[in-house]
Amino acid sequence: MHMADALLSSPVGGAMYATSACALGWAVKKLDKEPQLERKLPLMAMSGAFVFAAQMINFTIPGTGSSGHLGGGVLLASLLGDAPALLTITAVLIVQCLFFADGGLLALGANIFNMGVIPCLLVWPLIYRPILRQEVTAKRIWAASMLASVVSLQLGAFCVVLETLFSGVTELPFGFFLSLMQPIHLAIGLVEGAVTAGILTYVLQTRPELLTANLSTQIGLNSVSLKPLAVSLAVLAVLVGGGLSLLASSQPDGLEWSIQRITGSAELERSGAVHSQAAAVQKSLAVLPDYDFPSGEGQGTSASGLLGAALTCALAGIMGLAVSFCKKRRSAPPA
Amino acid sequence: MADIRSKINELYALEQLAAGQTALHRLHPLGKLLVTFVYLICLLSLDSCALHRLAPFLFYPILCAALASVPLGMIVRRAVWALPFALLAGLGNVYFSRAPVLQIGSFTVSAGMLSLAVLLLRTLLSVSAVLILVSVTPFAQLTAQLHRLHLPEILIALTEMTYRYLGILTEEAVNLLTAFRLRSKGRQWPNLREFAPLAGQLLLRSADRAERVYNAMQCRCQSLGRRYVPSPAWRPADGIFLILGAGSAVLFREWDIMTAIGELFPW
Repeated sequence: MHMADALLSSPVGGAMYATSACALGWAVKKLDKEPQLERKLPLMAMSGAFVFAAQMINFTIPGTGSSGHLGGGVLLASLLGDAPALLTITAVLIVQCLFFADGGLLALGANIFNMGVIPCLLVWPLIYRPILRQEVTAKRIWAASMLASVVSLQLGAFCVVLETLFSGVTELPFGFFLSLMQPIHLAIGLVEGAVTAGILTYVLQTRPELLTANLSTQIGLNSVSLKPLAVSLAVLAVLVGGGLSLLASSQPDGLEWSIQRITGSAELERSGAVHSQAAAVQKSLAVLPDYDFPSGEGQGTSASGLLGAALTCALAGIMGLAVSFCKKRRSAPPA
Repeated sequence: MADIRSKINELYALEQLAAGQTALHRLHPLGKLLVTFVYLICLLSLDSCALHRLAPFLFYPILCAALASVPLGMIVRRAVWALPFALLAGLGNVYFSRAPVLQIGSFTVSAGMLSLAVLLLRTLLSVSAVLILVSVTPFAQLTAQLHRLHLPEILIALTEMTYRYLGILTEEAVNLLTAFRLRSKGRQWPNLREFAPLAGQLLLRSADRAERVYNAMQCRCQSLGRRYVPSPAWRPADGIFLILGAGSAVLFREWDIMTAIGELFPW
């Protein structure tokens, strides 16, 4: 579910950064009140590293012939609690983004929201914790893990669809994109839920105190007011989204763009007389006749542009080679 | 097993590159961070069909890789991992947007194909920019810079610790997997039922190790209170890099330099 930078426009990426920053600010504020924070920090770091290491071990999915690996959002929340888990997932996402090209730097805010804020701040306190609050048993762990994993992955996938469509990078219709993403993530959620439940049941049998510690903690959602978080979140999202939209593409973006594509109105408009004339003018000005546009649509790429692009690519390549060559000659020992 | 080991090696390969001593490595981390962000914003705010306008954005990764002696092949190989989801989103464009926009001989290029190409190239370029940032800036310098930018101390400490423990716990995972494979008659991966206790065991080992780390921190009087992080001096070269890097990205975003160059050739 890691989103790459190219799937987001700058305004959407900025707005998601602001949203996640607010959630992280709330988590940091909450953790500041934790008396045993320094004791918890190595456990948080180790848990983050554990999720990473456990992802290296694949497991076979019965009946499919394929294999999968652990996601870890709900697992971390169930071990550490909401705020510590959010910070831990954020740390894991930062390392994955920087060193493994897993999720982009500009898309980091969106990834933190989809894979951190949703399972830790929404699903854990609203679904997982209430199920286990009364009593921690294997059956309840199974119910809570399955439900929490499915819901968090469904919500995460839904947010990915919205963010991608608002960014205007795909022409998949909203309904079609959704029908593609949700069932896939339902299957992933079920497997993730089973794996999470299996691990937690094992921990319950061997070290139950690891599971019950954060469920009985007194620092809950009520201890820190959510109102300032919600207000600042909304204001920041609007400000950043609005501010960065000055840099946005001149194309209509998001749902509007997609709907325009589905209805085909944009295509009809472009096949009018004006566009035919523009095509004729463009054809007469084009540098390479074979690289012309049959319908006269600019779409941002003209023959001149193609020529310029080719020259630039060649120039960039030559400059790179030249710099490497000069550096090698310099560093070579004198004959 | 080789795949897991190679992943560990890849994790530290970039760190080894970051320990280089080229001019790019010696630049201020803030300058490199700012240039990367401006580059990404400019790259991602371009028109979704403007394939030719991505060309000048090739300069930054190619020149930086050459200047910093970072193997471009390694960067591209890693960047390719980010492509699958972009491909999924982009393939939809090919199906739903079939308006012809370009004729190359007898081959007609549709708007969807063009936007798919833009999406894939953008993915490669953006991932390359981030990987180059990491391969010319040691992780400790990056986190120190984040501290100077007033990011929460706990998040920085957590990121540093997570990064440090990745290798250790991955080794543990390899050991567990080796033990599993030796006992399971040639099966490569555990099934779902076997995976849970295996991962659970890894989790318990992690918790034990966390306890030992905490005790070691206590013995050395380490705490979350901020340690002294010396700030490197901002030199003229840093300013020049910032102006050139960020300025060129803004210029390439605002001005269709490709078309202008193409029109210079009157044939």
